[in-house]
Amino acid sequence: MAEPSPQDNILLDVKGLKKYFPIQRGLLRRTIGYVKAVDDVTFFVREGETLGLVGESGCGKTTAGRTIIRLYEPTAGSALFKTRLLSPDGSPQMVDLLTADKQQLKLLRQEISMIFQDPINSLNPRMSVSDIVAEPLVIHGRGKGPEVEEIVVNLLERVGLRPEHMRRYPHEFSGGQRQRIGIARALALNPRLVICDEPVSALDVSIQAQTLNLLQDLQADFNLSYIFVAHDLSVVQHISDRVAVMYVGKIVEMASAEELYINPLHPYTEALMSAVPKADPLYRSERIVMQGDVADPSNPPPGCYFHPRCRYAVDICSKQSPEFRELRPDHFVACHRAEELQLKGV
Amino acid sequence: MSDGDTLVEVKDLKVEFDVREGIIKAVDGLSLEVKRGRTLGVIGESGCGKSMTARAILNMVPKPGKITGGEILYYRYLDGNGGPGVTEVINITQLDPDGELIRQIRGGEIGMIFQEPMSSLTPVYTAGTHINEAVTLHRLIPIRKIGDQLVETIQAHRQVSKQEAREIAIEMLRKVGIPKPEQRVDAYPHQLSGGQRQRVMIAVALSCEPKMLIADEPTTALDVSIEAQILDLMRELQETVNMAIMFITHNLGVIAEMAEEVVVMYMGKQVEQATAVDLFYNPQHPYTRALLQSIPHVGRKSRQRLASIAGMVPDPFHLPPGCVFHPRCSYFMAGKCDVLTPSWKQIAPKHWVRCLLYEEV
Repeated sequence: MAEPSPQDNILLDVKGLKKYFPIQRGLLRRTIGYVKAVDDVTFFVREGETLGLVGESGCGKTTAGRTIIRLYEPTAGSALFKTRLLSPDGSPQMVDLLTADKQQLKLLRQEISMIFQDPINSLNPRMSVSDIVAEPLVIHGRGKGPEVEEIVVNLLERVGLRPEHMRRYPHEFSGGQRQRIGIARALALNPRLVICDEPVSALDVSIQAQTLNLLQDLQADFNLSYIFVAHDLSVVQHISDRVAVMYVGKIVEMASAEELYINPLHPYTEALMSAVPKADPLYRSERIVMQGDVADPSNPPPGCYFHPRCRYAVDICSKQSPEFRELRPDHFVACHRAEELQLKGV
Repeated sequence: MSDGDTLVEVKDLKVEFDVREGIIKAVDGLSLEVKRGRTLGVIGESGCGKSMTARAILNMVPKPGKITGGEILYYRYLDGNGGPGVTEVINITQLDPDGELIRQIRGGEIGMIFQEPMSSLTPVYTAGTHINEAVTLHRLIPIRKIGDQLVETIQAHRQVSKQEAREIAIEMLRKVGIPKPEQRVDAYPHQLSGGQRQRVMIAVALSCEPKMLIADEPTTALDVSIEAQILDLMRELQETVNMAIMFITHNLGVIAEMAEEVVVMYMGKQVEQATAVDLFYNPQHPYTRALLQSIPHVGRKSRQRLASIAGMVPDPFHLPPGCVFHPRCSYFMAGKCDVLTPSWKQIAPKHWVRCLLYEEV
């Protein structure tokens, strides 16, 4: 992939992102190894689109999201983000989020926000709804008293909460309503990119649909880009324009949502999709059973990390790490045998 | 009403919670039958009473909840030692919740698996309480080897020596697909992965060869690949021991795969019941229809919005009059749905629904 220029419609361009957590033992806290939570991940997000990041627990999808926004300090890599805030004349430029200093970061965080999975623990129980939603506005000095209140009222209305309830506290709301509060807070500063970390997985089915619809409406209204981190493949497919599949810290496949589900190129994607229970009692899928457990990210197997569980594995898979390459236009995969395999989608 | 195939029959069950703010009707007039060797699915959103129904069947409703009405009949088959067996009918609601008989049934004849077993532990209990509870409730105790916990359950319900129980335990672990069971039997729960712990829970639940298994969201906390393995395992074991399963979940995909017959619950009441095929292809109650339309389907990509159910589940202390679903219903008929209470009506063979659309009023 070529270096993006500010004129392209690439909003975020992540290259070679790594996040290793040290494993420390003993009195002196010596580092005896690393958990490679995110291990050389490369992807990009276009303006106004949704990139789904999907994978099983422990695959590094959440860590990837948090490292980009610098909640974790990265081990290596770059994440170029298109911003207008840092140039004096407001012209767009690409800035590396991973090397930005504190001051730059504070500015940049107005344009990137986050929605969390757990709508109970991510809201301060001692703050009223209006204080929660206003907090980012206050921190970044956007207006005072009545001005802030007006913005908060607008935001609450926009996410479908009644402004009369703004003096209430989070515990007085249902799970779905709390998630709406979190969404209103994330939108307070007019961000361009929102990292949604499992935003609907704690919600009931009917509330999940409302929340997904709301996220889509907001995206259209504010031209938002989403990185949508989730483990539910059907939800990710529904909301995403493009999907990246992660396995043990690496992206193994990335393509448009339609393409990925119809023509998967990586055996892991194929197996994962075959495992999703389909809401159709007459559908009898040929389920691909993955042998064994997910590889240990502190001690991954040699070669391709998926090879011990892969039914198509050959000699080279256990020796050489496959390259992440663009096999078809906009369809990237990391598998030695991607060219020859005929995999089944759903 | 019941034929020889019925194992458990729930009739007009009512479970109420008497709390300071008032009375919550967690289960309100529920009737269903679980057949031997078959799978009954129960779906509904949180708070609809599906888990409370399961607990009532084991006479384990937590305080301040109480079974306030109806009966739960357990058709217990007693093997006649070579001669013809006899069926004894036990009304579970009449049993002393701490008595000998219910303790035999619970865990021995009706097994149970909950959601992720480690997270359902209560940290304030002492180890002793946990151990006693584990035998009846099937929970893993973090500080004890899984083998010991299995052995204890087996010995509580079967007349075997400790050595024999250990052998059964190893055999069960092998059956549920735990690698190297001879060594794993001495592992502690934290040394296992989430999927393996859930397999151990299934091993505990099945170690006494129950006639029925109550599975309450058994795969909700697991990844799809592990979920697939657990579902396959449950089906496989069901075939080999002719066990009935009551499968409780909010996941429509899982229900479609597992259940032959499905009960849909909303606010403590069953609103529809049908065979799985009928329910998914020909849903009749507006709530069932809305639920089915509100989920995204993998493989069917559309740019359309999901059909969502407006509003939210009502406050259990201020239930709407008439049909409790009417404020969210897209087929709402003013003057009818907000006034009259719909009755449970059979509309086709094996298909029941509780909705005024199907009543002449």
